[in-house]
Amino acid sequence: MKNKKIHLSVELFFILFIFTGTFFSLNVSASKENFDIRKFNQNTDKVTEKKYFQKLEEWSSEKKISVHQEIKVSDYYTEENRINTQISYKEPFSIELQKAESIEVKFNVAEKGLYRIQFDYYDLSDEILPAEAVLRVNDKVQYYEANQIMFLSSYTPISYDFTTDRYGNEIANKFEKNPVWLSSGFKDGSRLRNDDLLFQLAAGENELKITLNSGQLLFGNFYLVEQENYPSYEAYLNQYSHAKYVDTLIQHEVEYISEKNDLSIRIYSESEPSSTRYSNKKKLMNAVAGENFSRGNQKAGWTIEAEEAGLYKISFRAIQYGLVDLPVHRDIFVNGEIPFKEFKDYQFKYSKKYSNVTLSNSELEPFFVYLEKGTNQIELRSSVTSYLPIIDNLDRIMKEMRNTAMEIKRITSGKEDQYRDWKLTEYMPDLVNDLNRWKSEISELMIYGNSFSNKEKGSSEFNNIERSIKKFNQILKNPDQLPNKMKLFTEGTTSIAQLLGDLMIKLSSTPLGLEKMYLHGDNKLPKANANVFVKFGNSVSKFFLSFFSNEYSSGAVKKDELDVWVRRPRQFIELMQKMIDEDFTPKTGIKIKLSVMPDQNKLILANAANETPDVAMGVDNWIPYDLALRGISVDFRDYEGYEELIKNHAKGSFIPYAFEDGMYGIPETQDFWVSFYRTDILNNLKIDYQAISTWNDVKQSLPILQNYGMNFYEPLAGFVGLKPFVATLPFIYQFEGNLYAEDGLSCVINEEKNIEALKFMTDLFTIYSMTEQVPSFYNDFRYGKLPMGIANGGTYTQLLVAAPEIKGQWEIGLHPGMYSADQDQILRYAPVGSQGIMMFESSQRKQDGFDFIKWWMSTEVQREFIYTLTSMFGAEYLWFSANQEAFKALPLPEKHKEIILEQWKWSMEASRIPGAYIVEREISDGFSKILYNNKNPRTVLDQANITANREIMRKMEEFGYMKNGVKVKDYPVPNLYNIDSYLKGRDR
Amino acid sequence: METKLELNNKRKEARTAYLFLTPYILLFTICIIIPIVIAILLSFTVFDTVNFPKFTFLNNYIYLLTRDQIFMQKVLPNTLIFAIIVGPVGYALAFFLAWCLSQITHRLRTLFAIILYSPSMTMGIAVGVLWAVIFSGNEAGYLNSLLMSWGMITEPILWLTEPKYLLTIMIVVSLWSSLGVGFLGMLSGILNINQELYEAAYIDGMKNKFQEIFYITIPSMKSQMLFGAVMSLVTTFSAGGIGVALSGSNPTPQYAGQLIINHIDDFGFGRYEMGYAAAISVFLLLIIALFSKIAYILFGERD
Repeated sequence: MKNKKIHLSVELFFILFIFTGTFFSLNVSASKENFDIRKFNQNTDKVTEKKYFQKLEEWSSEKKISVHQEIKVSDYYTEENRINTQISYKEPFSIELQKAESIEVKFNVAEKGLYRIQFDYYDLSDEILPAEAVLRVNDKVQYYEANQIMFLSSYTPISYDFTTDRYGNEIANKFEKNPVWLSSGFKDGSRLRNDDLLFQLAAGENELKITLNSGQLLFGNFYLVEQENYPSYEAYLNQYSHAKYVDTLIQHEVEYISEKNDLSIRIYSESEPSSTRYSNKKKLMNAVAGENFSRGNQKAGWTIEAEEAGLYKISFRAIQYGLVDLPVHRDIFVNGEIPFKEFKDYQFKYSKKYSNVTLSNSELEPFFVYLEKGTNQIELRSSVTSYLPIIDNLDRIMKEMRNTAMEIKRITSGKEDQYRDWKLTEYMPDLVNDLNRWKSEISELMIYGNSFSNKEKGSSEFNNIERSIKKFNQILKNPDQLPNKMKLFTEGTTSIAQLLGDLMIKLSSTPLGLEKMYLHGDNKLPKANANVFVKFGNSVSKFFLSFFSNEYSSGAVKKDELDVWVRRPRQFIELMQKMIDEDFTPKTGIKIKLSVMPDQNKLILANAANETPDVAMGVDNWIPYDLALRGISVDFRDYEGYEELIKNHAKGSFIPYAFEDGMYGIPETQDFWVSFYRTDILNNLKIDYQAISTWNDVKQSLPILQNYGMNFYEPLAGFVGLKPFVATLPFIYQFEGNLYAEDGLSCVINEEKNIEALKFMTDLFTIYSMTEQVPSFYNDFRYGKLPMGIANGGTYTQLLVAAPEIKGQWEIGLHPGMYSADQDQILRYAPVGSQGIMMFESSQRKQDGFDFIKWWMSTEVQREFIYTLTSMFGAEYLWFSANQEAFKALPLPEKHKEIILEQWKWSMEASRIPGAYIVEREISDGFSKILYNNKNPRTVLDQANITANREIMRKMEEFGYMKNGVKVKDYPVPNLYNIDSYLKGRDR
Repeated sequence: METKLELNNKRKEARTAYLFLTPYILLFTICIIIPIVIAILLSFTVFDTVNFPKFTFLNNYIYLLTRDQIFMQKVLPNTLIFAIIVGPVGYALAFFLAWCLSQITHRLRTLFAIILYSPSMTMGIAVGVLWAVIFSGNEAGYLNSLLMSWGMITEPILWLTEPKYLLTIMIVVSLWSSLGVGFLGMLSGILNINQELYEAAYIDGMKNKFQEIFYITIPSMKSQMLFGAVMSLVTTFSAGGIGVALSGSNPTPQYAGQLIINHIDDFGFGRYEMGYAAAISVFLLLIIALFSKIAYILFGERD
């Protein structure tokens, strides 16, 4: 009986199986007949310049020419150029160049070939990032890297003394731009190549055109110079055959950097008892941080006094654990130049602990360098050159893979279906060849890479390649089915593209931590590490000391100090306190104590306990309003200098802080919502993303995207349950809607324009089938599933810092908008949700608090904060200051900053009234009712309006604007259209 | 003379007894009695957490019972449906699984007991990482992906956003994690039953396992059954995190998964109406007390 049943079901299963099988094969053959293969073989890759390494291959037969030629400023000066005579130069004048300006220099050469060009320049700007330029030779950008030539600056310390904060911890010393003329060749802005970029010049006259993208520079003379070439060590030593081998031990602490070319190289306090400068109670500066001394072309130098001239050995107490079992490379400069070939790309081996590294050759025979009596300069320059073949080729392979993936999408329209049989190889005859080629190419790269490793098995960094090879094999088992295996190929966190991308990033960083440097003869160096007992004792004492530390805690505020609570990371607060103690307190005599506020709800509890601070910073923008409504926050408009304080702010960001006719908070940092575009994909699809400006344009691009299984991301899809104002309001305001009635005592969400807006929002998902739920736009954007979308500053930072595989493949643009016929312009309103500063009514020293806030938000102080933050912690520490003038100082691409600033002109936030949350909720619920329950927008919003009004009335009674359903007084609603009146100070 | 001594002795004894009781009384008063009394007092006031509470007498309760539409239309029905399904089903499930476990060998039993108990410990995290991924609304969500590959649906379903699914999913997830302390109590209750009782019953003519459960197991572990019942009541009525954790917002979309606890949270911390929130809490306390009474009638010792 039972057996029979099983039999039957198996039979049934087979019948079904066969049936579906025939169905699908029919389906496929049908689609094949309609398939026009020619359509898909067009090469749609946008014509971009070749990469430098590809161009060099192309130029392999060209001659590298060494000549000497000088073009003086006066030779290439034209009327259009601006002359600068203030900064003295060896010529009578130099030429000043700002953003978008250019100079043209003419070279007359006898023969065609590759030339190395150098020039004198002087950095005028106060920006952190190096200036960038496009370089055209005879009106042509010769290769991709010529689009981003960088001009490194030189920074010197203002002082070698480390100041301490109020708790006795040392703070890294500040650096400023060294006001000197520099001389250099053209440097690769992607920081992969340390050598000067070469350019091909034709015989006869050549015109070199430099157009500045960012920064401000003075240019002096130009030179054609010899190709880079260094003597061998033997030749070098022969020069000094009579010099003395000095027998001494000079110890130099590397935290005293005398010159560096990048602010992000930083020193820190290494908590290790064997460091020279060390205390278990305080943080003392003692080492150069490896992770910040890790990008190509970063250079740090130290000035060392030698008591006698002669030949010295050089050693470092160093640590290199960034690249497992692989060396990182440094070019070593002695008194301004690399003395011999062996010091170019010198290898620092992998070492998990600090060790003494004496610079020596592969047979461990130490190198001697000649130092003069007196001051000598030793510099290390980070270099990735050795791994370039791997990086360049991985980059190329990934690009090819992405193109193939696009082509596959073109054929399959991006659908994944396990039960569909593809005959992909028929449409893409080269596919198997390509897969095999990539596989063998990466295994060759691995062999090359492992040749650097001193481990027999090679470095574990290349595991990614091994895993990729396995995945290639998996795909090659049945290449026809690749459309269903895109997760192995280019999409997803463990795809080949991702693995190779990760490796590429790993190899292009060269972290090397340093703690001290020795110049010595045959003396024995001090031990690199403390013994076990010292280490153990140190940890024990540190553990017990940790109980007595009250740094930055809110308890211990002295009577004469202003109590300020800050909701920011600890590093930020340390820096803020330092700036206050160094600048604000000496100037004004107002002492300030900052404390960490991990949870902003603590403010409400503190109020109940009568322990509110004087000022709170970094609070969410709804807190000041909620507290103002209940009478415990302070109106900024009452203070002299209010207008001055806010003159550089975006006005829309003030809406949530306004109550009655007062302003109860000041935005400190703010967000932005802009469009993100994957340029590589969109170019491939021939979607002109730069032309996308309105929602209409977005809609028009949707069919093309959706043909390839891609889509557009609208932030409504990023919120699962409640769709907050952040997501819904842009539409309402772009449709010129409004939320509340004039008197503020009721809402009007059932007005015509609001209905239109809500209908449009739901249409995007119903008619235009945008993706309704997206857990992570950041991931889908990287994998190319959502190559267009709208996102905020958080996503921007993520993409900037943590999306190496698509570096340079994405752009941002303004938020899409709606065209308004009344105003004859495109409305692009988008939220700017901010973190703000507020003061408390209970404070005894409000004027002092206001002075402090005014000082803090001033452009100079905010800029200073941005600079210091970046120079101390690196470019990832972005402070999106609400002071727009200060925002300009952020080390971001100029283009992006312009777009963000432009978008901030359209900044808006939800108006606050008592009970505003119910409106937010009802709009969100209305959205979901229309979308999921197919309700009519008008009836939905009518109903919502009634519900919302009931709650608003209740709240208005609570706060005394209404009594028993009758209006007592108006509630003025701050909004986009009247916010200007809030931005004026009060007459006094 | 003697009586006086006796009296003294008795007083001494009483004093000692009170001394031993003191820690408990202190803790109970501080942690339970005082908060409850304060909550009840607050429920008669308007309190915005900033200004001093204003006495309003019964206004909060009147509003709750007569004008709070959402509470009556959504929150209360949701809570009752949720509690009535999750409570008894979870309870039955706990008993059934405890009984099953009691039938197997010691080591396996310990292992399975840990496995079954663990969901209730990891609840908070599990909702975030496990269930949110399973019910994720795009095609990468496990459930959507499965259903789509089986051809049962063509478009991904937004499980956590569409109101009609949310409550059901909350019930499923809660059941999954309902094997808590009550379950352990019942397991130990079953294991502690004197085996001789069964043997005696079989001699008296008991025929099957079903009779065994009904006539011996359940009557012998009434106190654990009561404990389990009260525990499951309290946990289901005071559950609130699931809907919010799954849908990512309080309130849940269209209040589809709004439970009393969420409502309290909404008023207390969203709208700063602590007085009203306190009134709802008192109401919830009364509901739980009522149902506990019923459980008592069902399982309590009546002698």
